[in-house]
Amino acid sequence: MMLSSSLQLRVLGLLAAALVLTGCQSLFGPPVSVPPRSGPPSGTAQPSPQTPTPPGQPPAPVPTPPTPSAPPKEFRLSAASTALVKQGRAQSLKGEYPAAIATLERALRIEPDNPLVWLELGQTHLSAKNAPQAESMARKAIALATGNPALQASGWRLVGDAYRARGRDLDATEAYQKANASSPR
Amino acid sequence: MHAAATKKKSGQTDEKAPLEAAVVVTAAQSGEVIALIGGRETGYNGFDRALDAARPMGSLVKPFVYLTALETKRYNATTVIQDEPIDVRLRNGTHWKPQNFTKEIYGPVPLVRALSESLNLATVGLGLDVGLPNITRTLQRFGLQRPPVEVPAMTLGAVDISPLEVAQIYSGLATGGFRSQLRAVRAVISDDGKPLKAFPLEVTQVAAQDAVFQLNRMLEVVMEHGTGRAARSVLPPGLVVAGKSGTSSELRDSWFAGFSGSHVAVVWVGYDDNRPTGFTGSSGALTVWARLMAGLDTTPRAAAMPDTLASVNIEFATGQRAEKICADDLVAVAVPLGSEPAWKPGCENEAATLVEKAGEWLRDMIRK
Repeated sequence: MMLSSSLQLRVLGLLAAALVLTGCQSLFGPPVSVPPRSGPPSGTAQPSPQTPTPPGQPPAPVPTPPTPSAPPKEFRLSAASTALVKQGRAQSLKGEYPAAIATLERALRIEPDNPLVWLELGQTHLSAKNAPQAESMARKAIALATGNPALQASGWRLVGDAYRARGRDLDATEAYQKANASSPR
Repeated sequence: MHAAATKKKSGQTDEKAPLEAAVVVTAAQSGEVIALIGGRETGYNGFDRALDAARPMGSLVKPFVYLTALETKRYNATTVIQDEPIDVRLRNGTHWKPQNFTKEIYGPVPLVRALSESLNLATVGLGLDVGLPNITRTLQRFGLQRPPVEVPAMTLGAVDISPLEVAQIYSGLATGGFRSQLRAVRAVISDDGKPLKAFPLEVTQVAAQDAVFQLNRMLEVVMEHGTGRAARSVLPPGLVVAGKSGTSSELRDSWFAGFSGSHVAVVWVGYDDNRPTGFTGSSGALTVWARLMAGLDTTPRAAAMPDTLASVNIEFATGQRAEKICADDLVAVAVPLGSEPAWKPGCENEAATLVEKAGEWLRDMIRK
């Protein structure tokens, strides 16, 4: 049997809960050592976090998950990818987008499952005015960032930015709402 | 890599028999083609079976039938479907009566068992229920070029396809529902190193992540319990892979397609003149596939489960929820939260007692 039985999962869940209670959880924080890039502002279309429940709709049921939520999964760039990401950003700043994309694809060959690389590629495609690819890469990052709501929120913000770049403001708002639902700012 | 794959292929076949084979290996996430073998004579520059052969895909089509079913949200891995005799009256008035490979009838089976044992009757019933046009759309979203003829036999793989196209559509599964055009060339560069033409990675989401995750979990069960289990003894322990066998009518084509965490590999074995090979997908292509995978520096599948899903253990034969203390043949599947199946009678209490005890042990441990 390759996968933990749900029994083992439940026991692990209890263990995770115990860890949370004893205050061992300090895994949040900037996952990358590369400074955050200054992208287009993404906060303008965000709704207030206290959006009331629309009238006529019952409040959403609170699901009771079988296991207490695990601590967020951490993602870091390897040293080699960090260097390539820095190089890619420098190329991007000079407007050399095809070169920047080729550089980031090299990082992807090193760690194809790292959502941070996909997010970076998505940002670069957005700078290069290729919004559809920016959106796809962001969605890919969101899928790979399962288990890290903060990183998934960054992905949804990029999806929102990509929609806005195409004038799809309603879709953008929806994406920003998903970002806030994943990880309220 | 190419040389290694060639060796694997020829090591498996009788040198005197003109049995042919084709192999495609790609990098799972980027869609880059790593190895492409078009036949026994690898230096031959003519007909390349990996690119040019169009052969019936057989049961390699089934994952796309089951994915289409999962996407309706009316089915999950534990849903019991009927494996029963089928008689479809075709438009031309003739009757189509498919059979299981074993010629047996299996009766009620959970979806995961029908897929991992590649049951034909259960799959045809499922495919007709979800609709042939929907299955066609799924295949085309994932990158099938030639639209299949929409007849009930398409649910069993009466769909012509090249090995490279199989790699294309299975890549979309390996990436959790994202299609990237397979690429063999990254860029064309001039003498002085200037890029003339680049072929950047392009990605499109073609299926929901949670539907593909549920399917892939079932394709892992294929490798543990189903038609792919013979690979287990060849693969390194701990290398989690997902895959599917395919066999066309009268054993003319033997296929295996599957993926690890970092590679997609497709193997086809057959004769150019379409003679029967005597191999099923499991007895032919799988043996090559397993040795190829074992020889690659590859990683186990480790996709994180979307939080809309739950992992449950079920009895393989019945689809009922169970734990080790009350069932022998357990498989782990992923189902949408809230769709967990009913417990096997008598099983829940035993399992619950054990969880309670584990909780007590843990509390005792923490107090100490």
